Amino acid sequence: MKIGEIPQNEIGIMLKSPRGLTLEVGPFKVRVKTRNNYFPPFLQKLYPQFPVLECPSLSDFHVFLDTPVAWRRFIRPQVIFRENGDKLFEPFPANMCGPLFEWGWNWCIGTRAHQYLILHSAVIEKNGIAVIMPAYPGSGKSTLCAALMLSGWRLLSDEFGLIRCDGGIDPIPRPIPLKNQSISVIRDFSTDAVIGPLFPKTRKGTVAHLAPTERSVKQMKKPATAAYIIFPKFHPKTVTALKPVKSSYALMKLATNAFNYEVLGAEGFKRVARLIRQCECYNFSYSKLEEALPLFDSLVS
Amino acid sequence: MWEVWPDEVVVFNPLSGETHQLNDMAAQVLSWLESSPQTIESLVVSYCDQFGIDESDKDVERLISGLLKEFDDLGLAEPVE
Repeated sequence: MKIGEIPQNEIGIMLKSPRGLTLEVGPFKVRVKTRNNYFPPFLQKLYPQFPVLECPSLSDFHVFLDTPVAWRRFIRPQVIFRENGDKLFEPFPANMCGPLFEWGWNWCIGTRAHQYLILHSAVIEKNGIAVIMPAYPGSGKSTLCAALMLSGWRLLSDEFGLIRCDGGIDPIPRPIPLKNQSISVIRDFSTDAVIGPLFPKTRKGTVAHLAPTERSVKQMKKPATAAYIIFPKFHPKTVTALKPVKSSYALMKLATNAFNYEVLGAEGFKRVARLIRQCECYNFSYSKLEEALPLFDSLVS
Repeated sequence: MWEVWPDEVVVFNPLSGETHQLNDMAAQVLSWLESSPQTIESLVVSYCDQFGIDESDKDVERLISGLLKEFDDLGLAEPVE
């Protein structure tokens, strides 16, 4: 059964039950428990296509979105992210439960899923060809990734390039966190954009999440092979241009971008080197989505 | 572990877990050291011979000495008795 097929009050009951609710997202199963009332609508708006596992044998992550102390339920209510019972971060305001779940789960994946080389990058696919877009602050990666997804590309991830030992990339098509001006840019870009509630005054400014497309979720078990590594850089006054970069430069840049390159040691080097051998690598500057999108389409046509 | 392209080299040092991008000279000298221990003098002779440089050119010796120190600092090579 999918999240979107379950009435919201039943989702709330499942989340409050001792077993919690187990969600399957790409290669991971995450069990979530919470009494937070802001979380069921967040889940239903942004994860409607994802399956709920009724009798999961094993879960990869056990998340409890906890309430700190009783009186905090009434005065400035808060929520705490616990994984396997451990409190990992300072409490958030209770209405920030959704973003806290997203950030906390990111942390869990980035620090635990060492069966993968975990790139901090977006991965999108069209016509069987995947493009890796490593993330750097202000690169405009999420906006570009969101626009590509809404233009028919399959989202594998906006946050993680999960590189397997055979070089394939496993999808984890979770909601895309849009920040500040990107929210209105994407809202204006497509009427198909399903955008969750606005969360103002976070450390990253105002944040809202864009739900993955149905196609991306339907194919979340289908790995992809990358043919391009593109380092995007948004600047409002730049000219749209794709410039090849040296392989050694791309390798060093990708290695420093990975969450667990040092953890994997020689295996990390092998996986990055393999990606560089199989991909064309470019720096990409852009200022307008309407110029960037045809260029990406031309790469895979 | 080496990753080599026509004019680019990157090496991974499994002992330190660090990755290094090498220029042509560093890559050549490190590859000779990988095959067998060498003296500075023998490295200078090999390098000058390979690239047609006069052996009396003191810059080559200075650069190779500097490289060996860097390799030692990075754990890529070490002096032997």
